[in-house]
Amino acid sequence: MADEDRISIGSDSDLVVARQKGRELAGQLGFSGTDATLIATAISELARNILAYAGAGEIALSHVFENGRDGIVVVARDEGPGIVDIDAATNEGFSTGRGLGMGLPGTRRLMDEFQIHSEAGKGTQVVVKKWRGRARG
Amino acid sequence: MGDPPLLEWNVATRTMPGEAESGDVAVVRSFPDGALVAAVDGLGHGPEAARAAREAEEILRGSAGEPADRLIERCHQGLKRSRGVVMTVACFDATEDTVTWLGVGNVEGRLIRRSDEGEVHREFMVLHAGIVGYRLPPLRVVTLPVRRGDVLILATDGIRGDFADPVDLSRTPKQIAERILEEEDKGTDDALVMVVRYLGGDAAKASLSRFRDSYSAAFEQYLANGGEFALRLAYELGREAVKEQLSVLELATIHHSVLGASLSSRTGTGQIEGVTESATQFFLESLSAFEMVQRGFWEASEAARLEREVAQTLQRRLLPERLPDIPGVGVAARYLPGGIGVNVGGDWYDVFLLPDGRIGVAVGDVLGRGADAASVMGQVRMAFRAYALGGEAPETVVDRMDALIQAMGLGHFSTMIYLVLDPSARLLRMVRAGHPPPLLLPPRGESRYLEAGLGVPLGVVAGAKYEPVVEGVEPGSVLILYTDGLVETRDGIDEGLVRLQKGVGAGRGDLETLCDRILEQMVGSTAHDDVALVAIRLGDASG
Repeated sequence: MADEDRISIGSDSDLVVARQKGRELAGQLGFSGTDATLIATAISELARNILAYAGAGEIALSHVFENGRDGIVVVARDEGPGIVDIDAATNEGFSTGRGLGMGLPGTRRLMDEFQIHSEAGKGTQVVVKKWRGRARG
Repeated sequence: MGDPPLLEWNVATRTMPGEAESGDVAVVRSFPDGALVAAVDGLGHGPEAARAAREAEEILRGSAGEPADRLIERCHQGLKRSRGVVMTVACFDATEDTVTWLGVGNVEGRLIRRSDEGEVHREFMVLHAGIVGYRLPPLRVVTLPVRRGDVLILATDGIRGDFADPVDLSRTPKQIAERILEEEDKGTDDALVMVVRYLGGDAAKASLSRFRDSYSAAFEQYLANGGEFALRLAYELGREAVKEQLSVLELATIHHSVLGASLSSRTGTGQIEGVTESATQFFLESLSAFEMVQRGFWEASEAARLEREVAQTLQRRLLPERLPDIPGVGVAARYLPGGIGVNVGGDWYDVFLLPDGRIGVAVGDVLGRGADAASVMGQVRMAFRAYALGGEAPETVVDRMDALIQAMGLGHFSTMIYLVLDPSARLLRMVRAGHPPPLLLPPRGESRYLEAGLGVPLGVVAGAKYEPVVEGVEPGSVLILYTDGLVETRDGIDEGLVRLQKGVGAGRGDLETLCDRILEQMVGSTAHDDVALVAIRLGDASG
């Protein structure tokens, strides 16, 4: 993996910085404007989640090249309370009748890949990827 | 204030004959974004009652705007030296279009409101037993949505309890209040009727206009400075729109009206191009939350479609592919999955020839939906086949089924009928575990349901013993077995049972045609629940 751009998330204005850097990187990698919007939205949702549940954390952005494709990787890390029911936290929405399908489930649907690791009391790490040139995620 | 009034109201009262002043008092007090409505009844009648009620009125007027339960607590504290009152308070909230109400004692409240479909509903307030100033029960408020034109009626106990039946909503509050006092006054106590019509109902409109203002401000900021900060506002606005249940159409309308206003203030071509480009970017950001939600919707509907497909395949595989040919016996069966949006359930049936020439017929229902219920149904049916083909009596087979389901802990409520027909002895032996009764149509005379011998559903009572019922069956008789999806309506199955019996008539003619006719009459084109149906005729198969 190439070098990461790490943005610490502790306030609302950090969210704007993370969005800005995500959009720039997406532009450099040749993502479309629509995709850049979706990436910025995913970053916002992840940053919101950090602020809401952990209070602080960081977002790291990087470029990957795999199987002949360029992609953008967003990692959100915090040392907050962690998520007990990961399945519920990532699947809420229409199917379960809970929530509106924004937040983590929404992030998962905006991106092509989604991984989450969380330990009670230790924190949460979410890794999402989006590949360039895919019509839909 | 220049705001239009939130309420239109009127009060009709009568003082108990022989008393100078009434102990019943009405209070209406508006405050920013809301209004308080209350009716107070001082205990007993005469001057003491009137004084207690007036004290409560003063407290209410001074505290209007506080929550309903807090108002009653305040009155309770303030009235401890008085004779005490009973009272009902209702707080209208114009920002949410709701009313929150609470009553202690017996000042009755009714809310007469129209639903989205225009139907008139009457809501009854739950009254808490107690006396304000003497003994206060735990207070629990209830909040109901209201819309323009809805009517709240409060009445003290000098008015008969069925006062709001019916209420003509086209009348003015004054007419309604006077009519009720005229017709429902008991004449034995002070009486008060208070009728309040809600004139708000613009909360949704107001929130839309606030949203437009925020959108416009953020948009102008983006035009002026560009940058991520303003795009982030667009994203937050989109998120808010989703949360406030604005539709995409409303958001698009707002965007275009904001854009139009912005363009009309500019002239140069280059300037206009710049604005439209920025507008697209800004609009995209605001739509991204809708994109998230829409993807969730597609995901959910795709998951539902897949599950339905799996369940239907399971169901098809698990039901008999064809019914056995049994000499001298006609059999027809149907299975209908539930309608669109409803998954298949766990209905099943089985018909087979036993080694000694008797005929086994079973119908069952595993409660639940989707692939889960269908797979449990598969296990239940296989177990049933295995037990039944041994030729044991129905009660033994069903006892074993019950024990098995308990032991497996399948956790699904399940009903069934197992019926063994003995054509040579002209008898049937049946066990019914929580399942609706089969319909017997003898060749002559009235049809009837075999209602005797109803046992508990399978797997719910440890060590249940099922009792068989034995009936004579003449050659030419038809038996109809089914699951509750065939006869169930919102009110239960009684009406459906009557309709089925009428619809079947004497049950003559081809059994396949009979099954089709029954389904058409009972279910129509869309079943809400899944339906299994078996028709069997003894003797001459042509009927």
